[in-house]
Amino acid sequence: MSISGSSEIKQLVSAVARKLRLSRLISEIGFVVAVIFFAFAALLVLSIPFEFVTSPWAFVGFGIFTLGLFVYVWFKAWTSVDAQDAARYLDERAGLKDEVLSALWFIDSTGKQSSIGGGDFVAAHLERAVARIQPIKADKMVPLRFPQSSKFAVVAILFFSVTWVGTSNVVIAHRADLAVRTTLSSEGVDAVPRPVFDGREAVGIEEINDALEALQRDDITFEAKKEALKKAREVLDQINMDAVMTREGLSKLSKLLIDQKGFEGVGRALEQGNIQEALVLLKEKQEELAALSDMDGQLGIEEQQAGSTARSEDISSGELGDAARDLMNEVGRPDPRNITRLIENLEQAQQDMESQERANTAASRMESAGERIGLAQTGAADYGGRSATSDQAEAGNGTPSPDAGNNDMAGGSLFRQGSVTASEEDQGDDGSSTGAPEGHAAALALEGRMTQRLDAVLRLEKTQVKGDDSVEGEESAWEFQASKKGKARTEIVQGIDSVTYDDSDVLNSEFVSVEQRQAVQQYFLEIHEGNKR
Amino acid sequence: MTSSVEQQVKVFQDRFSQVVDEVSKVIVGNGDVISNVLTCLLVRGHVLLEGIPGVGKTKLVQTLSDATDLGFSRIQFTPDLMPGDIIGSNVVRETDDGKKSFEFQRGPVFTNILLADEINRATPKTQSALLEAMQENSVSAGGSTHKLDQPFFVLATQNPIEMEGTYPLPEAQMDRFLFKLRLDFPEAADLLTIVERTTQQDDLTASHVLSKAEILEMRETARAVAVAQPVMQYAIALALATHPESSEGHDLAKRYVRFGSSPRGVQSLILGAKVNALLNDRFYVSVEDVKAVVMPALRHRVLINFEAEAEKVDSDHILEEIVRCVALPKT
Repeated sequence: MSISGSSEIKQLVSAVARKLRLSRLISEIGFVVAVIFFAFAALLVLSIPFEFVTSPWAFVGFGIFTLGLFVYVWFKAWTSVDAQDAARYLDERAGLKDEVLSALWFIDSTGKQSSIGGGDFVAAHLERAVARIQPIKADKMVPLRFPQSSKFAVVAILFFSVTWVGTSNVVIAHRADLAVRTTLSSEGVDAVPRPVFDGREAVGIEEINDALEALQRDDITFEAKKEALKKAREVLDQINMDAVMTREGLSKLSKLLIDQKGFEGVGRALEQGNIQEALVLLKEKQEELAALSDMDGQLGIEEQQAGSTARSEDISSGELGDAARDLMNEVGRPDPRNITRLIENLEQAQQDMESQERANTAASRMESAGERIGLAQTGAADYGGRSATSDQAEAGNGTPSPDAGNNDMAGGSLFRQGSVTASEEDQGDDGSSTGAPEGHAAALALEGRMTQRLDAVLRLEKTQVKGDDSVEGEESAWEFQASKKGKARTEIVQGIDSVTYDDSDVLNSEFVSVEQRQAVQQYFLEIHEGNKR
Repeated sequence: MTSSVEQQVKVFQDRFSQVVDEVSKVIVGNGDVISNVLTCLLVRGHVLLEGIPGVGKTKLVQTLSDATDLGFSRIQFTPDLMPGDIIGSNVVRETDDGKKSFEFQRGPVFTNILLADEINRATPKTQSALLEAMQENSVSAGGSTHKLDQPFFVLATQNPIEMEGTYPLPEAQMDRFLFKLRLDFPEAADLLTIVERTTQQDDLTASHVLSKAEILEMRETARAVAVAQPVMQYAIALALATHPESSEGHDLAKRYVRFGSSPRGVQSLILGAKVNALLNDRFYVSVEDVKAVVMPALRHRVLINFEAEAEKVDSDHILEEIVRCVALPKT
């Protein structure tokens, strides 16, 4: 039997088979890429709540798995198409009705032809098959085109990119983070609100100075002076509000640091309002850490564990070892980065305080000038009740006010603290009586008489209330009551306790729940608007 | 070599079409049936024709014999027909000198084309008389075997509606028919032509267009067509799919089939496909050729069960599904 032309048939079939394998390989790889990138995206999303450990070994393992997957897919795709498949494909595409398939089999089965039919017919068939395949080009039979899976791969890559960008800066706080008992961590360092470095205080002082200048000028109208004074007061109000936030943060941070072994001194310094001392202490700690880091660099990796043990036994670094429990990073060591951030924030807070002091000094001069031209503050509604001059002038006890810029209140926090507590001497009847249609009824008990003790921060205010006429003397006409600020703080603490991220339904782009924001907003409204009321 | 083969194929096609054309002068419509009958003749097979009375079954066979210049016998099968009436019997013959001896009296089976009309009306014993003749092309009687003249071609007819007093063909006998062909009731246009042709003064008859030698030559040509193993495996896969007990059996077969195709079914597929390939100017058998003969080759080999009869599922329906589902297997 002649097998002339068999090489042409085999060549064409081989070429088609190669292209089919390549096509299938591309298709399979597209699916694999799609699966891998979708899986990556899913891991990124899941890593937010579950905090997957991204150790190098995990990446190595995943890399080996991916490589293995690609090799397996390549092997499967490359071996899944044989010559017979290619011949069938060729017959189907060229409409040859199994001509190439049969020819290929006859070529491969030389010597078996007696059992399958006449040799002449086989030879004639091969001859005709060769003639038929002459014009056929493998490239036209199997055009290289992007398979359907490539679209999936592109979609998966885009999806992964979007997910990666969207999740790269997300930090989800947990329930514990919302509680005050949060230990100091990288988030804890941020307890001191990082001021916005837009030079707001500088601009504010400038505005106050401008207003002062305007008040001293004679070439502008009274209304213009009034307007400038009003603007300056608003700026001052804003500066004071920022300072209040800073002090709140400092207060919280001082409590946190006191609980951290090794950082008690820093906490106490902050509690006393001595930021400078706190900074000095923190810098000392930072230097100690730097020294330890240098030692680590000198020690080999194998000796590192032993070195750590030795340092723990060392008296000078013992405290630091304890402090590392709270200020530690993921490897169980104090994290210098957190301390550096803390120092930066404290320095900024110090600047904030100084800015406020300067602003209030300028404001004091401004108010004096205003009084001279008849623009003195006439009421709390006009000034928010935060004038240093008015506070100091009118306060019977002359208490230094943080609003006046005097933060160095010996032995105390930035505000005097008091509490509304139930006392044995508290009487349900505070002396006043009200008339009721059904007859005489005793007034309700004082606020807080039967309530749970709360660490409400009070601002010392002297408010004249109707005293007990039966008690003689000037003291009977004066009572202390919880300031608006103290009341607002109580509410915000309660709000924080009750509101969690789990309960919140909406998160904005900063991942702060709407309820939290509303609680904070309410806090300031209570301070600001409450005073106006 | 190629031109020689091409010449053979061309001759085959010409002769085939000549016979078909000649038969079609008498038989109206049923072109596929005519082709398939001729196919059976050319691959040494036998045909079972099934159709209601009056659709031209007997006429078709008679016309084919007229067109092919072959010996023709007709046996009307009746319940009282005996095997000897078919194959012949030994009779006592007295010579001129007074001696008596047995002599085999040849029956009507000794012919080229045998029409077994209404074969299902004879008893199984009589039907079985044809078994040896159809398979072995020989007849055993009186202790001696008699070879049948070639080509030997049996065309049996049966009526599917008058089943009372009939003896359905046993499976073994059914299996010996290469094809089972159905003659449907003609269309209105065909019916008109039939009436016109059969009610005129002279009956139309076919002329001899194919000699015995030419038929034998065509048989050789048909057998010479090459078949690649993948195509054979496809035919085997089709046959296996009809088997309810096979792991490769089709779901419909498992539900509705009592017995699947025998190995003769695969032979029938390949042989029929070979003629089909030649008629389509191919020197090899393709899957398409196999598919073309699935129905006539396998429909009488797939025996449906009671459930299929109850649900009016016939073997044709099952085979259609099998053809649709079975793919060319990988070798």
